[in-house]
Amino acid sequence: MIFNSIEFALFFPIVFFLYWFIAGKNIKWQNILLLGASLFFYGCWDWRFVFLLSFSTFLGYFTGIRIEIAKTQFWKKFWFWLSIVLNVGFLAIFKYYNFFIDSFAGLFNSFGMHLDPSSITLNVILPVGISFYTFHVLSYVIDIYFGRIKSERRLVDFGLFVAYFPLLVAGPIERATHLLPQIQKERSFDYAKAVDGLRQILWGLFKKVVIADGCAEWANMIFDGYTDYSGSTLFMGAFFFTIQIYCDFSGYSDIALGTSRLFGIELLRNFAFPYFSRDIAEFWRRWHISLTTWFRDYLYIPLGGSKGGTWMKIRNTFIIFLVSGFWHGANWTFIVWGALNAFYFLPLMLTNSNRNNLEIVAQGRYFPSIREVVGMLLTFLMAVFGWIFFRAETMTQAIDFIKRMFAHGLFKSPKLPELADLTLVFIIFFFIIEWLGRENKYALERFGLKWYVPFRWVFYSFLIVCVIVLSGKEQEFIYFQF
Amino acid sequence: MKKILIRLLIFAGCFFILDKAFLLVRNSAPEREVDRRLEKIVTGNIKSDILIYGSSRGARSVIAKVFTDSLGISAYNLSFPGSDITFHEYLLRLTLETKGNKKPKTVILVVDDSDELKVSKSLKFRLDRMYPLVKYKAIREELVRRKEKKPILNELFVIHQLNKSNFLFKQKKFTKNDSIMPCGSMPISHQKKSFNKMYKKVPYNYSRDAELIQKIRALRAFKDHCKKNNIELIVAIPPNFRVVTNGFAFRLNQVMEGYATIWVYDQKNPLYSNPDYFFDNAHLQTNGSYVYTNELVKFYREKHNL
Repeated sequence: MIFNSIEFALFFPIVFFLYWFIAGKNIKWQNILLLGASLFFYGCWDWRFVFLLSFSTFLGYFTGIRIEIAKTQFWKKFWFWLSIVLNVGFLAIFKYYNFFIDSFAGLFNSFGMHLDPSSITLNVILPVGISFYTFHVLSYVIDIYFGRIKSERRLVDFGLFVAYFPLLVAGPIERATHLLPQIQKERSFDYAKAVDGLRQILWGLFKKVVIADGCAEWANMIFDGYTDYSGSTLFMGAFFFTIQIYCDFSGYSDIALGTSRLFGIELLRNFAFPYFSRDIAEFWRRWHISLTTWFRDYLYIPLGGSKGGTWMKIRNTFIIFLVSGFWHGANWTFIVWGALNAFYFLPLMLTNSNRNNLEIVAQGRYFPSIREVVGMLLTFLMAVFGWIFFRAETMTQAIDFIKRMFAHGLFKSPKLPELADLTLVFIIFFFIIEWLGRENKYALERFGLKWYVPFRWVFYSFLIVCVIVLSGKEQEFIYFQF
Repeated sequence: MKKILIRLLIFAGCFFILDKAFLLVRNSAPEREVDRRLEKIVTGNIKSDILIYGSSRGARSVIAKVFTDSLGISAYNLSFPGSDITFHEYLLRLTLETKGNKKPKTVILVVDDSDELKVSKSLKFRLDRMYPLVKYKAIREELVRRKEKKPILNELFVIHQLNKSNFLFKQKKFTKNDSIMPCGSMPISHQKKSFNKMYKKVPYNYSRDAELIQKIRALRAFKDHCKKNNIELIVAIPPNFRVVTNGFAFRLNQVMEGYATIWVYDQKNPLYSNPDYFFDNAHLQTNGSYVYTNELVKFYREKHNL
């Protein structure tokens, strides 16, 4: 069941109705209902996954308590490492095992030793959202170990923290310090928040169905047949994918945040208009924020962060970007994408200019300065180049794609179907709205709020018409595979 | 809570009314098309005894009018460039199921040597031909059946029946590659610039490696429609600018379970290795199409003792 499906359009109002009308203000029943709905939601993919999710939940719950009540450092460490090893172990088996086997086999074969990987690779499917909920549990256990939070004794509340359906399959990656207190607090219906939630859902659906899926059609066409196109068309393919991945993932996040707000729970913000960044450091402060801050807090800072010498800074930067790339998937293309971003980032860090652009671009102004435009354009082009590796199926394809892009008519007029022009018009419209709303949490947060109601409704109707016209075949969200 | 529910209900009511305004967009879309053959099927205006189905090879290579002129039997070409066997099967099914259409006596399926049953970048189910015709229920039902549209939304909202192509309000025009004769054929009277004119004398061997099960099923279904309706089925392999693939005809016969007549053009005819008769490596141009169709007519005449 995905957010842009009919099933979800039926599931959500039912849960909403039961939550506010049946469970009422009784927090215990509200949480039980949300947990049950979350397990049902997850089970719709594959009921067997529910067991894995439940195991991860019980593991986090049990080891969290054990770490807290352990009387000696030995036992504290024991439960901590047990939890880490098992959680990471599951992730490694489901997501990375086959990748390592294939890579080692490739390495052995290159030395002339024949090794057939098919005999030892596992025939398993990757459980949806495993990277996300594993990171929930890990952050919880690490925070207890370092004494930042107390363990949660109510299993339902903890279960809801791990499995809460709006964030279960593609984040944002929540922290216990942020989500658990909200789960334990009494929640009552708030009209303004509900309207805000609905607006964010609408904008998320527009981003996903109209922009991301529209771009996907052309990006797929160009990447799948990249040997047939000119350099400029290949550039357009990379451009469409750049827009697609942002709108797909941030659209999902918007729907998740909006849905959760309707239940009275605020989730962490995941995107802050990253394509308006003036340098790559700013881009990474604005892209997939819940994951980058997770890595910052649980990997980069424990490794020493930027406090050590130059080599330590370089090492830590590479580690965090490589791990971040690898988190996305078991493929060398993701690792290279991570490394490329580390190379982008390094000059800024070494010249201490990685925190130059902390404020919102052109704050309080309609138009950016020329310097800001140049910065945004360069950062955007660097991102476009990086996404080629992310989108390509193999390294060979990525390199060939780039070679062809630069070798065959990069400055010729691109050859695109007539309907791609319509997608470009939507992209321009989308960027205008995003630019106007860039000082808010999401583009539509305040957009049109001061208009007369009929005008506002016409605008909503326009967005809904676009979504319904273009909602044909259900397209899964890209980040589900991670 | 009451406030938001009331507002949502009023908004939904207004939206429902707005949605009906899109009937204008939906119903005017067929008028902008130049190729009205699919609409002819869906409105029950197919009245010919011989129908020709296929992709661009069927459209370019077989001139239906030659059948009518030579044999006095009405023939019509329903081949669509870029379409695959799943689309041909749908067209035949639609032809037979739509009231008003005359059941043909003979169906000629012009196949692609040797991509007919294989994964192909250039051949597909032509959804783009269907969206301009969503005002017709049969088309809408097929889109739902193919999961291109969602059944509930399709019933509730006119806008869900549409596609972005419905919002291109430009009147379409014939191009030099896509002019259609009244008999439905689309011969082409020039040569492609990139045509290398190198005739391949050494045949490829047919391989089943890249065959798609969906295409095999569609070809079987195509045969079954003919069999069920007692329609004669001729499967014609038209010339490429090379010799016919070894084993391709055998494979087709295997899938058709012997029901169809597999007909291969006269490979000894020197005109089929003359580049002046070809548009490119895979398609004849008009003079070649007449040669090929006349040969097909001759075969048909002999087969039926006419």
